Amino acid sequence: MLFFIPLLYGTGKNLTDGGKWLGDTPETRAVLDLYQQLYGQDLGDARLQLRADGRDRSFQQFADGKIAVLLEGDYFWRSVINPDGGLAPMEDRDEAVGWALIPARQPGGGLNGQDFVSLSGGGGRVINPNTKAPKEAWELLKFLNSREALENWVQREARITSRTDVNQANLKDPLLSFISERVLPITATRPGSAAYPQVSLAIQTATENVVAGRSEAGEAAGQLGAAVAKAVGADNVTGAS
Amino acid sequence: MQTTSPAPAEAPGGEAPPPGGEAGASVLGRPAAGAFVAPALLLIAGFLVFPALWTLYLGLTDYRLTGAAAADPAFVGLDNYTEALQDPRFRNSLVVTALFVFGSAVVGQTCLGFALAWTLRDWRSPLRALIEVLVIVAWILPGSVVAFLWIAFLDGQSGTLNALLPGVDTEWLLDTPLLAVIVFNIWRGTAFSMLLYGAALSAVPPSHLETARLAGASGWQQLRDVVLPTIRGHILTSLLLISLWTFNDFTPYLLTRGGPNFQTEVLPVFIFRNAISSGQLGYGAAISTIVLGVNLVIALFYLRLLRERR
Repeated sequence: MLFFIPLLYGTGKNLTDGGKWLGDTPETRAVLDLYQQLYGQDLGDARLQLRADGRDRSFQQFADGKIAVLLEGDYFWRSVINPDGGLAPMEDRDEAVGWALIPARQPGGGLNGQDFVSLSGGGGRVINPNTKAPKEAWELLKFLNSREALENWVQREARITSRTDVNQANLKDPLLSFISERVLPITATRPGSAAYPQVSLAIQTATENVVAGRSEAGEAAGQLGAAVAKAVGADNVTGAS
Repeated sequence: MQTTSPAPAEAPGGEAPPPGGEAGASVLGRPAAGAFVAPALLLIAGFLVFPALWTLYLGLTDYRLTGAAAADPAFVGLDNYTEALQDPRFRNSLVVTALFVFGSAVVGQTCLGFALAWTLRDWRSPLRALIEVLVIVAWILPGSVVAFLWIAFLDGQSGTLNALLPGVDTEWLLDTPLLAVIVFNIWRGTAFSMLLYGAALSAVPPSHLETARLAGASGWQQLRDVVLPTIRGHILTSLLLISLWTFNDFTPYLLTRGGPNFQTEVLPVFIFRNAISSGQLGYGAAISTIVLGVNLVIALFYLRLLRERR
């Protein structure tokens, strides 16, 4: 379920397009069709996708050498298969594991005409608009985002930060450097709107039905379009619904 | 009021005692009785009636966990209810819940609990205490611990169950998820039925059984014609309670998160995933109201059977 959105980026579309949410479009169908190919022909492990702790199990199976390719991010590298304190540590991580960018459906066919796509998440720090101490809050945020504070943080635990100067000066890890240089410029995030959790549930349901073999890709795309239309209103959805 | 009944001499009518003003008609005056009952009524009103009414109200709005509709929910009438009736996932959840309650509570816990109580009733060995303790431990362990144990027990590759069954590598929670959850809940909840039936069986007058035996009744005939009619009230009470508990049970979520592909999504899990995970509190409240209604129907059904006892 994790990679519906990056695959959608690979078709050149985002979840919202011109202010409207993506419903039953050729792009959604293409993504669900790929799911059907992957899991209908046993190219991926459908059972791992369906079980409650599937992602955790996939971590272990990757570390045990039973899974060859996973679509994960820097979290997987630094917190899961990290030989030093990871959840499923791999002693030979640095020699055995390689990485690549996620290619678009065809060169130049990804989001914003890119050749490759990426989906990011993470935290944010904001000021409460009703605060009684805006100046102090601003000062605090300035300090938290200062080079000094972020360097102190990454020296305790290697991470990609929002500051290019900190990343350039501190990232020794080859994958984290690669991500900060090659992936950050092309990455995108999910919408932060209140309707998104419902759209996310619609996506989850549609992909799950395809992976379980309950629905064909086209049928699931129709269900997805209908569910999104119900969540955000039929006027706010592109594609057939 | 109950307080009037011990004084039949003062109020020969019995059924319609005079108001509390008449001295001796009740031990307490009406105001004093009211003062004693008031705290309980306030608690019930605050923690039971008010939340139920609030849920009823929320179910008529588009209230959400976040966003504009969280700050300013709009009244949408019965939209949530019509949506639920058209929602295939809600219908799926109803069927799953019905199978879960029928399989694990009505059939499983009741039969196993009664069988244990019946088998153990005359035992005086330490084995009886051991069996009872084991059954009760399953009942009183925290749900999170129990869920972890069962996930480990049912795991396909390294689970205890498959280790005991040579040549079997079934992933029970994936291939037979609803059955697995039903068996889990039978194991989890049988203690209550066993204890209740144990107490009920000890209340069956031995002379009745003796008479039946002298009249040549077989074991099965004694059970059918002497024991079951005597403990009918206990059976119905037990069924009522465990049906309601199972109907509202959230523990399957700890084993399967409602999956795979919604096959174990009982109504409480369905409500949780809609109201909290996807933020539709209004819709979740509407489903909760429906669940409340179903609970009332179950309760009324059993209470009616109980009243027809004689």
